Amino acid sequence: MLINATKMVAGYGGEPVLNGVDIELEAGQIGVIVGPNGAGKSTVLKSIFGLIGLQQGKVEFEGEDISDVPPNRRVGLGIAYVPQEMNIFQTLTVQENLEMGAYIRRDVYTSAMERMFDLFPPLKQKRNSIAGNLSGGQRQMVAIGRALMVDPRLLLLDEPTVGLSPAFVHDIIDRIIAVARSNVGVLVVEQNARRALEIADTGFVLAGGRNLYTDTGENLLNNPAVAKSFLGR
Amino acid sequence: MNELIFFINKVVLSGAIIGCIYALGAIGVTLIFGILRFAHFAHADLMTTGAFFALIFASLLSGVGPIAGLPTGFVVLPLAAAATALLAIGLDRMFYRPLRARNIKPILLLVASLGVTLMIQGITRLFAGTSIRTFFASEKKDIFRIDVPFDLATRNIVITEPQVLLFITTIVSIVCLHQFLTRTRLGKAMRAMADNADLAIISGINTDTVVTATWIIAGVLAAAGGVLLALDVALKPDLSFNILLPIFAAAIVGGVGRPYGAIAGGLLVGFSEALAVFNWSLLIRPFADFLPAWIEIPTRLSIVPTEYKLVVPFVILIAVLLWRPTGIFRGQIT
Repeated sequence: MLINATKMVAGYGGEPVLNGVDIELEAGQIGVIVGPNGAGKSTVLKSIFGLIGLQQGKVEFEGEDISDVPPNRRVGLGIAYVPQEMNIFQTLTVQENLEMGAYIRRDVYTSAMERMFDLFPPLKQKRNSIAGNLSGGQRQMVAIGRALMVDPRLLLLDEPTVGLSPAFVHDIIDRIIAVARSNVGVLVVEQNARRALEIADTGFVLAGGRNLYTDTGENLLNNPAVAKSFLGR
Repeated sequence: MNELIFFINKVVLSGAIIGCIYALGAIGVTLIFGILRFAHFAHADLMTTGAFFALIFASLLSGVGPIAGLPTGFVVLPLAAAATALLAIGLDRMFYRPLRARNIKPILLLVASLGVTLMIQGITRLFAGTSIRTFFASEKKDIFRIDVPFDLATRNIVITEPQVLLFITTIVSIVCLHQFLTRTRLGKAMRAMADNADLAIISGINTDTVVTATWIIAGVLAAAGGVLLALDVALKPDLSFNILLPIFAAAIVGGVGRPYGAIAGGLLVGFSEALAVFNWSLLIRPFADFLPAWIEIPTRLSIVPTEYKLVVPFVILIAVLLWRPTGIFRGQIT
C-alpha cells in the first residue's frame, strides 16, 4: 500500500472538517476524490501532506506512520503536493520554478528537468519565460512539473483543471495518466467529477467530511445513487 | 560652461551619491519586507551601527589604511559588514523570530522594530555619546578635481575619494546581488520565498536558511551604506535615522519586495532631492540678456529650500501611492 490514511479527523480550528475519512491508494494508481463543496476534499490532501495536523487517525506512507512528520520532510519522503491556487512562483522563470521543485535534491537533476520538458513540451520553449505570464494551462503544467521534480511516489493534485479551457483539461488529464503510468500514485481532487472518475482506479465520494462511497471509478459512474447526487443527471 | 559644471557637481554627483546610499539601505528594507512581510524600521540604525563598528575597527587597526592607500574606514568595511550581519541575525533571533513563531500579525513586527530602533539609538549614545566623529582625524580625505577640457571652463568637477569608493562599492554590490539572486540555489530560493512563501514550504525550501541569508545580505549592505555615508560626511548617532524616510520612499517607489526597484527608487529619490534644492538662478543668469528687462532673477531660486529637503521623498511617496501604489516595478501589496 502506497498511502493508507485511516479515520482522519482534521480541521482549521473549531469544528473539524474531516470526521473520519479513509483513503487508500496503490502505487501507479489514480485516486479521485469527488463530492460537493465543503465536503472536505482539499482538506484531505492537506492532511495527507501534513499542512494541517490530524486530531485523530493516522497517515501511513509505504507502511510507515508519518502522521507527525512536518510537510517539508514529507517532500523528502516522496510526497509532492500541488495546491489549487497560487501553485507557481509567478515572478520566477519556468526553469527556476522547476529548480525550486528540486530544491531538496542535492544530486544533478538535469534528467528530471528534461523529463518534465518531454511530459510538457510547451514548457521547453518557454523555459526562460516568467511563469506568471503563461496561459492558464501552461501555468498548471509548471505547477505539476514543479511537484514532479522530486520524483515523488505520491502526487497530490488539488483541482488541477479548474478554470482551464476544455482543450487544456484534456491535456492535463492525459498527463495525469502518463504520470501514473510511471508508477506514481496520483490522488486528485476534482470538481469535474464525471471526467475524473473516468480515469480513476479508485474514486472516493465524500460528503460532510465522511466517506460516502469508495469504489472503482467505473462502478461509481454506473452507480445510480452517485450519479443522481454527485454527477448531475 | 561653469554653470554646467556647477550643475554636474550639485545635481548629478550629489544626487548619485545620496541615491547610492538610499539604494544600499532600500535594498535591505525591500528584501526584508519581501521575505518577512514587515517594514523594518530599525534598518537605518543598522546602517549607523555598521559605521560605528567600522570606527571601532579603524581605531584598532589604524595602520592598515595608509598601507592600502585607502581610508582606513573603508579598508575595515568587510569586518564592519560581518559584525553588522551578525547583529542583524542576533536581532532577528532575539526579537523578531520569537514573535513570528507565535504567528502574530506583521504590524506587531513593525512595532517591535521601532522598539529595536530606540534601543540601538540608546545604546550607541550610551557608549559613543552624541558628538560628531570623523574617520579622517589622522588621515587626509583625498579630493579629486577633474579639469574639464573646455576653454570657457574655469571650475573643476569635484569628487572625494569616499564618493568614488561609494560608487564602486554600490556597483559591485548590485552586480554581486544580481548574480546571487539569479544564479545560486539559495538566491533563487530567496526570490521564490518572497514570491510565494507557502509554495516555498511545500517545495521543501528551508525557510530558516532563507531568512538568515536575508539578514546577512541586508546587514552587509546596510553596513556598506552606513560606513560610506559616514566617510562622506561624518559619523553621529542619528546619521542614518535622518534618512530613514527617503530609504522607505525609495523601497516603496521601486515596488516593495523588488531589489532592482529599490536601486532605481534610491537613485530617483536622490536625484529628485538634488534637483529640488538646486539653485536654478545660476543656470538662468547667463541668459539674463535674452529675458525681458522686467524679469528680475532672484539670487536663490530653488524648488524647496535645503532645510526642507525632507519634503521631497514625502511628495514622491504620496505621488506614487496615489497613482501607482505598487511602485514602478509592481511590488507586493501589503
